[in-house]
Amino acid sequence: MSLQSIPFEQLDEVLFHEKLANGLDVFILPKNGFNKTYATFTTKYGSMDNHFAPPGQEATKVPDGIAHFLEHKMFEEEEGDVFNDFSKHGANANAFTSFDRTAYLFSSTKNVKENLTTLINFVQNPYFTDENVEKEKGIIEQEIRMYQDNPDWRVFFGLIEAFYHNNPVKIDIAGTVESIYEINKDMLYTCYNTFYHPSNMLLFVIGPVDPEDIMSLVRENQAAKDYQEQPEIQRLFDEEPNQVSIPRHEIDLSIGQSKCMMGYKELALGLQGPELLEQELATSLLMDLLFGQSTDFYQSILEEGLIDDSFGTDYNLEKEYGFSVIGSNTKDPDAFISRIKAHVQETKEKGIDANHFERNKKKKIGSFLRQLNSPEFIANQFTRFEFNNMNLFDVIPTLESITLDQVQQRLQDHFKDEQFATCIVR
Amino acid sequence: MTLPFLTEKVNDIPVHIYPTDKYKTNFISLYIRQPLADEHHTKVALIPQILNRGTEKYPTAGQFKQALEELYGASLNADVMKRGEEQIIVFRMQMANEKFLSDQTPLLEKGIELLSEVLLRPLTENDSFVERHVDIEKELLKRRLEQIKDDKMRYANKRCVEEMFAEERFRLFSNGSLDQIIDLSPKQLYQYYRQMIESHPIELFVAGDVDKDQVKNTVQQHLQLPRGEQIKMHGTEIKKEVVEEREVVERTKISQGKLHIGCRTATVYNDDDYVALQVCNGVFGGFSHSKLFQHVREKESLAYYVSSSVESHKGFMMIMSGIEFKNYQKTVDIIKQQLKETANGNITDEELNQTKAVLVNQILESEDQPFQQMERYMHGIIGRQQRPSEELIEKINQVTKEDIQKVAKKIKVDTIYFLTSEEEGE
Repeated sequence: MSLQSIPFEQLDEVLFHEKLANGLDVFILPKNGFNKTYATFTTKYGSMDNHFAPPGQEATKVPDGIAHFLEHKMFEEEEGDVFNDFSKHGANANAFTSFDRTAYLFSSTKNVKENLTTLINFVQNPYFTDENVEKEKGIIEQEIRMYQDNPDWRVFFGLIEAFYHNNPVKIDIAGTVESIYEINKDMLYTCYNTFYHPSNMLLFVIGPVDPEDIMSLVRENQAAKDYQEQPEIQRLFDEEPNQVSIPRHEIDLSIGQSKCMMGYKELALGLQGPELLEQELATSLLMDLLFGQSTDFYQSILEEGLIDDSFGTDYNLEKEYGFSVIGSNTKDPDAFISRIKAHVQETKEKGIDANHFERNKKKKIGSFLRQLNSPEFIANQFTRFEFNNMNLFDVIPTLESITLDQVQQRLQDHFKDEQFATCIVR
Repeated sequence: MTLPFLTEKVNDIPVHIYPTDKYKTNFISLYIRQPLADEHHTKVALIPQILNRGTEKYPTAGQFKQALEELYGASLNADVMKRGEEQIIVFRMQMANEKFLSDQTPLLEKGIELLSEVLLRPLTENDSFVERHVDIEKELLKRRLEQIKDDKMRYANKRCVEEMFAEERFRLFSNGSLDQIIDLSPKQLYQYYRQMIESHPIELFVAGDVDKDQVKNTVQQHLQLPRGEQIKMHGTEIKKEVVEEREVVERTKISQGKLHIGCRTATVYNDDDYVALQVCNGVFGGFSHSKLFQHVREKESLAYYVSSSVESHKGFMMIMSGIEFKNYQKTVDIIKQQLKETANGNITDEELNQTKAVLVNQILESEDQPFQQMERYMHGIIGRQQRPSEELIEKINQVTKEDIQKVAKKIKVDTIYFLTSEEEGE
């Protein structure tokens, strides 16, 4: 196989792609004129993957927070801390774990090849000892406690817990202080060996680079490593009932101003590719049409003092889960909730204004172009899109193709009273 | 690249233009400078928000947001910040470049027009801002300020600064004070706004795929601010001596202690040893290879985050960490010990070289970000000395261990602030 170029003319970009023999997907997007190169090496493995069968073995359940724990531990090598190798070469390195993926990354303006080699090698070289695993527990405990004190994080996770009975998306990404103390080095190796196979991973490089140059580095690096072909990973999910788990979830944090998040649990799941993209974009357009800052509704609840400028909405959709989020700091959570519900009901009856719809499409297109200035956005989102068999560069044409009817249909399908849940932190 | 901005005076305002085809959008920033002062800082925090609420042409916030949507979701944000003892209003605007759209409306020109509308024709009644708009924004500001105590990290930061600079203007918070909001009348606010745009220093920046003359013409035509005699910025008071180290302990319901240590560096932006201070901060606490991270987190597992950062104009360094309550003294001791090590010149070649490489990388990366470049240029204006990238990089590379030692010896711990739990200790 060789390097394929994929032009996106409207956006004036050319993307390069190659799939290596060991299954690794490599994408390169040259950005001439920029100083910075940004690279991410991502595995399709996140906090949700807590029940699975390692190749050729029985199914196993692992402690909460293990994917994130593993992320922390990958940075330690026998020779010491891999951050040192990056900073020696002027690079800024980091990593993050989400529900469904773990990404390792660096950015640098020089020594791109050295840094890229460091990135690939450290992620492909686990080094766990009883001692270094123990040492990490204190650090992660402090990370968990930091989030415990963060009311925005608590209200968001509280809402997810309110939606789900069994789906592991409701597990806090870092786990709990108790669960991380159950983790040992053997469990880390089991997870590593299952999910860090190149065929479950994607490398993305964006910056002022020569694609052929980068590609030959990656080819040589991978050819020197011995990977056996791995069968598809068996991920096990308990069945999730349609109804929400806790319609109203309250958490006491003794904060001055309450925070309230609410939303609707998505039932139209299992989508991949263009269908997933369409549903995602149509619903997020709809969220803006209902609650955007240009709407009379937003301005009136703001003027009434029910919300403040922390108000925001979101729509999350993956193969295994999906939900909308509407949230704000509020003086009166109950009044806020009932205004939102009434507004949804009223819009369902009245329908959506065609001019408003067209204007919002423009806005979404412009915001997307703004995001394309960011190498971080492109690399991270492209990876998420690819893991769902979608293409990031299809966003503008898909947005353009969405019709008012589609959005009206989503309004009827997604915003169902029985799918509603809320979380209040006060 | 040296300084990318070409500066011209148009309608008595310096306009800094950076033509580049690297981005898919165009960027505008407008800065209004203001001496930080008790009698004005809350007004200054409110005014940009009131301006964003409506203009003659778009009398409601909803209509104004719709106008932005029409410009393909142009963004216009107003922010207030503190640089030394200056309080600065900044409007940042970003809009798509029409060359990536099927619709060829000249968006940059429309953007400048809209910004002018906000600044020159805010909605008024009887030579005053509209009372209803003022009331809404007062309420929102009040809530923003009240909510700081719910965000423990921000709260600890603000409290440490207030305690440390109790006798200096620097204690004032850029977003104003709660106790002043109620007394501000729409008329007073409007008069102060008029005074501000007539007599305060203003800087305008434009970056993107733009033509210099065209930008000049557009600004000339649309942005005719009523400029009169200019006020003098009276600079920042820099106290170099610490009379007595202070310890402040506060209690609240919290699961992780917040340790914030304020130091006086006695070194500011236009000092010769400013660059040495930056390198010193990098060796001591700015990065993950720094002494603080290595000793507090990696060796002792006391914290998830620990870092130091330098405020460039006041000669102020803040150290921050989140720790278990009982580890307070131990952590303080380690931090002080590491500061001492730095001042004694116990710095390895590796620490020095890593820090230099990472700092140089940061500077080069910031060149990819137009808003960051504008920000850097503003630092130069405030500090009365531009530090172009090339020169800065050269100076960084010349810094020796002795230089760091010298500058570190001047750093004195002033105030140790600890936010801890209600139950712990005493």
